[in-house]
Amino acid sequence: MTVPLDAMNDLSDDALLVRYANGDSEAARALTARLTPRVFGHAYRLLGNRHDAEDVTQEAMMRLWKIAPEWRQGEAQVSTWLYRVTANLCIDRVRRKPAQSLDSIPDPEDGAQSVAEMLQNKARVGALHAALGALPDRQRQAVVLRHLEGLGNPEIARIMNIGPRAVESLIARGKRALAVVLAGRRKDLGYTDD
Amino acid sequence: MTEETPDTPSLAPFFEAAQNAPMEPSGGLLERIEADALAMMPTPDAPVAVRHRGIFAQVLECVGGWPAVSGLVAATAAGVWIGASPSVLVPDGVAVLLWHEAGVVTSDALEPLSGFDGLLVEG
Repeated sequence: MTVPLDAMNDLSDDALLVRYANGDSEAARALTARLTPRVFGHAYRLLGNRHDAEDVTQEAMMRLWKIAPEWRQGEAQVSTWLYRVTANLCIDRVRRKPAQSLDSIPDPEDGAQSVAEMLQNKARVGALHAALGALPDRQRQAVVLRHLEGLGNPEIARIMNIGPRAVESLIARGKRALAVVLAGRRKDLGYTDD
Repeated sequence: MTEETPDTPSLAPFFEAAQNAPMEPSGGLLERIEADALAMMPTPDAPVAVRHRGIFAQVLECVGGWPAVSGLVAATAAGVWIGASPSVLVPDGVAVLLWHEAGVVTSDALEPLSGFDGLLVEG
């Protein structure tokens, strides 16, 4: 039985995945619309590159479609599983590529802002992405999940398959390293030390 | 969301800028992912393709599978071995035939009891 797309909004990711596994095309569309932006955002924040982030997003979602028939409802959260798969794909991709210099990181696209604001925000986000790119993989993953995705430490611990104290340690070390890298760029990027 | 600590006093504005940066996937990506989803979607009602089995597989199934076949092979080998080199207690069928043709068949050769049974009977 197929349920209209609007009615899918009330269903959990788990329930939608089970419907997908049973051949419900509306569930496929609902999952695509719901999960793709989240996966893409996470990949983009880890990679700092739109093209690579799109490739990783498509691959992560393909793995979700593949595992759907074996998914056991209630055992794990789809979002947790996807964050983990996405991060692993990003780490693989970063390891295969040579390190990028700060100037080579493309600035993110932006929309409805003044030109000056847009350029400044682009520069800030670009600088943060470059600095994140210089962190060890696990530190970058933990900092992005905590401070850019807004997840709590217990959720991050499940995604990274480590304990909450290890998460705290990774985040603290990552932030210290970021602060060192970005400290010299605050004035360039329009920040004042007040 | 971002805790300020003495070690990291300068990160909040960077995190804020990154959180506010639009992060929308392109329409093309959404279309590709939806196409993947529909292409990979399981179809539980699809008929399962019938696989035709070979004659050997059918014979194997008739006799009871590999364990039965191994038993048959062992029994056959034992029969061949006993036939080719019989013990002294087993009448030699080939010799019986030869002696019969030569007219020297003795009562012992046609004795239905084995040699050991004969000894027991005779005491």
